[in-house]
Amino acid sequence: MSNQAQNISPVSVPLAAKKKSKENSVWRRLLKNKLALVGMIIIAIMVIFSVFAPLIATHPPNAMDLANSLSEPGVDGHILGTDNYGRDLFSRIIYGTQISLIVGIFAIGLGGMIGTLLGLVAGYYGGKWDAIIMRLMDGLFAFPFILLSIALMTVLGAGLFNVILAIGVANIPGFARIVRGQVLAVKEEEYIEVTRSLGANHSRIIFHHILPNCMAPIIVYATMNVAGAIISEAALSFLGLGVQPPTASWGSILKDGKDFLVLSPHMATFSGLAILLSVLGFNLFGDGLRDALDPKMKV
Amino acid sequence: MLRLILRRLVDLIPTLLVVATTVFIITRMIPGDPAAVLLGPQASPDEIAKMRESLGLNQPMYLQYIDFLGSLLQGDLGTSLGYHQPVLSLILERFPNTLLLSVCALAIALLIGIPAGIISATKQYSAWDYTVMILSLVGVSMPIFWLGVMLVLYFSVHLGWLPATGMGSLSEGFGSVITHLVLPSIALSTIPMATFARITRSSMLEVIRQDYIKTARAKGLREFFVVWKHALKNAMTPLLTVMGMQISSMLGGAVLTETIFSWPGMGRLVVDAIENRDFVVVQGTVLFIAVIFVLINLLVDILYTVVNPRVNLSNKGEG
Amino acid sequence: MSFDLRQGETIGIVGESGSGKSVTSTAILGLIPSPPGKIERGSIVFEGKDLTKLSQDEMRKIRGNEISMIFQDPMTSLNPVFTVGNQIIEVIRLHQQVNKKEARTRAIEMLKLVGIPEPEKRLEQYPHEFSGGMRQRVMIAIALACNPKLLIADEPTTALDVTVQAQILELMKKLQVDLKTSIIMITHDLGVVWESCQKVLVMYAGNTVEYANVEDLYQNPLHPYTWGLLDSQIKSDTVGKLPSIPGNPPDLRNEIAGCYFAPRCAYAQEKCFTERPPLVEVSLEHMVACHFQTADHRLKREGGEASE
Repeated sequence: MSNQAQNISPVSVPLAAKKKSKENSVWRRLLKNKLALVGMIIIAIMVIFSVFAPLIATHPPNAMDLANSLSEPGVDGHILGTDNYGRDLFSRIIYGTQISLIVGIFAIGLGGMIGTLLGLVAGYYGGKWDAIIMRLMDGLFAFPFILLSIALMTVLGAGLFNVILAIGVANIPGFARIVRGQVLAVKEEEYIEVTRSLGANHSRIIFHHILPNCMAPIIVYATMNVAGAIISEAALSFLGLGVQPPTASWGSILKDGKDFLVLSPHMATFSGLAILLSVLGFNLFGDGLRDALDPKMKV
Repeated sequence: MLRLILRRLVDLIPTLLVVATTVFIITRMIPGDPAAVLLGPQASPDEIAKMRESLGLNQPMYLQYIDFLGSLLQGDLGTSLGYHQPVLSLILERFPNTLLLSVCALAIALLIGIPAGIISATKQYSAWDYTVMILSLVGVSMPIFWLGVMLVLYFSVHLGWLPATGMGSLSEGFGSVITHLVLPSIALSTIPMATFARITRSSMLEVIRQDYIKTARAKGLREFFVVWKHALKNAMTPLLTVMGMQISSMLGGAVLTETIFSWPGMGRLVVDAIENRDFVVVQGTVLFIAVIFVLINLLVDILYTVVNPRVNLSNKGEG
Repeated sequence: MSFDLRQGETIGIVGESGSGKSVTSTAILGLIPSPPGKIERGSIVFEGKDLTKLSQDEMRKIRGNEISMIFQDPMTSLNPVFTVGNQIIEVIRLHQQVNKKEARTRAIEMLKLVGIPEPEKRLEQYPHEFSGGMRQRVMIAIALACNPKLLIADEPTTALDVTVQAQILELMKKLQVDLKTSIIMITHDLGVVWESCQKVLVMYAGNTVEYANVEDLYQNPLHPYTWGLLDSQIKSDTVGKLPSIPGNPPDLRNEIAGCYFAPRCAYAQEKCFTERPPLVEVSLEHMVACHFQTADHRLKREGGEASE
């Protein structure tokens, strides 16, 4: 395996052509994987729901109607019934998709960017930098993920931005570790040596040569961690630490649903199903992506 | 062996220092005057001044930090504002309950997840394999706080079989604790169970193709021993790595599970403290859990050497 | 394919990789993974018993006990997580009614027998603490621990250094004389066959193409494939690059009507592509499967470079 990899020198193969055909085959493998396809469909539905929420939702998400509170699914045009304030559950779940996606994408974007940078520096420069950064990451890693988010939320206070910040920060060490490991592997490749001997400076080597070679695991890890971020947001909101009412979030709907579990179990059931399905969607897609890019990838 | 363990313990010091420092920074990040935040909006300026004094907030930051570390070394996690008790004793009161719940959940996860993964691997592409794989995919995606609520809805509300909250007590008989333990343990075990099944399957599939498995068969060993002795022990290494991570997320999951089932453990303590804005308790518990986690990881590292003779403890931490 | 083997005899099965040698050997032990593999027809008769008719349980009693096997790569054939002693003792306790202590004593004897110094100490060590040659000695110890009547050696020296190869072959020869074991030596290396076998069977694409005594085969090889194999061996007068047979073995998933070797054969004619040649005895105890190598017709062998 490794012999083969070494034989393919970057000079002998037209790079662009190789890259293109590689991308094509990744796509083909991804589309052949039925589970990944299911994941993609779920994600697509989520995107549609959040972009077109005002069009899809049958009611304004925060409009209260206390006379019709806790009504059953299907009654009075409420597809999934209403909550304890008489708000339309279907519309709230549709709008909740926005929160889940926003938190998922931005928190992972934030954590991924900082973590990747730290991992690149630690892996590339090694030595003192590596020791300091990775010790720091080990320390952060020692906190159970959700607990670190909880601790951050308690001091930051509730709110969408703070949720993104808390989950994002909790994601940093994971990315740093993955990227560092990848950099250490890529750094030893011959063509990096060649580039260096040709006089490329550090930032050029890091961003033009090493980073592109770390992208596959970063993308897979990010996809899977979007799932984790969605669960974390829901968990924080479930604990009352997430987005503030009356903003519709699946976690906060579930929190209310838990209090009215006996009277109207539909609140808890549907909000939770929404969380489960979207998390499943990102996990399936991430799995498929990993298998399509490199089944041996350790993510 | 003992010396290596000691060395690993020494290696933990910087990690623990980062843990403590992180907690220190987080608590000092509280916007505004921590004393005022701690006491709430009704506090008089006099009370706030007193609180500042008692928290040592009038000292320069580095002195506060040294004080903080100093009291940590003495096992002093501060005094709860709500309970008026040392935080450490609050934690130690509840820790056994969390431990009981987590150990039960871990046992369920291991006892079901690993065999399910092994059978899946030995019968690849069978109906069993597909069922296990689909279930475990759903399992790893499970929001356990929702699963907990659903379990309560079905088994407590609808069927009335099992109690929904609390942990019972030994005075009501052993059965009382067991029945209270069932639902929270199942909820907490779901993700690790599904993860173990997936990892076991994939690493068994890899191991089972190895030459030494052929050797074991050529020796005339029963397939049962080939799989459960020769293959499994080799498949344990990735499983252990995952187990360390799973135990960590279980400690986090315990926070959510204990909230749903009103299980009187550390997680419940944290959530209550958050609601009561009892930051000293939050800080102490988070710190405590992090230290437990670091120690568990050390244990996992030691288990590596038991499972895999090629791993040398002194070389670990390189990758 | 068909061959028979008497006690204490060694037969070599040669062919390129992918020619079905290893499948044959695993078939004897009933170790073909099923599905997809299955013995369609034919029989493997060992001491009067047809192995293909035995139940899994009966087969298990034979494996490692009466017939054992050593594999190509000693680096991967030993289980890395058990001590070497553990792995030898396991097979002894599996097939013989002995207690732990007796099994241990026997294991030490075996290690001594295969030439591993300080066997008591080595017994407690793990495979990664052994060199490749030493590991293959351990594999031999495991294989011979129960005094098998038949040893199947699948490329036992291929993965080893040249000097170690000779040592292992020497060891196997010595042990064969001592223990009166029959050996099936599977290899792509005719040199190994020459060193250790009395009979040889040349395989191509899962079929026997030539079967003869070793000396006979060397002095009077008949099948063009055998010629190609002989040409590609290192000889004392080899200069420069070794000639090799051009092309690859056929993909047996495709239906092939004629001789399997025809597409690569320098002597192939039309008949070769349409009709499969049977294996016939062309001279005493010398069988070959070629349309043009029969009792009364012979091909003229061209020089070693013919195929280039």
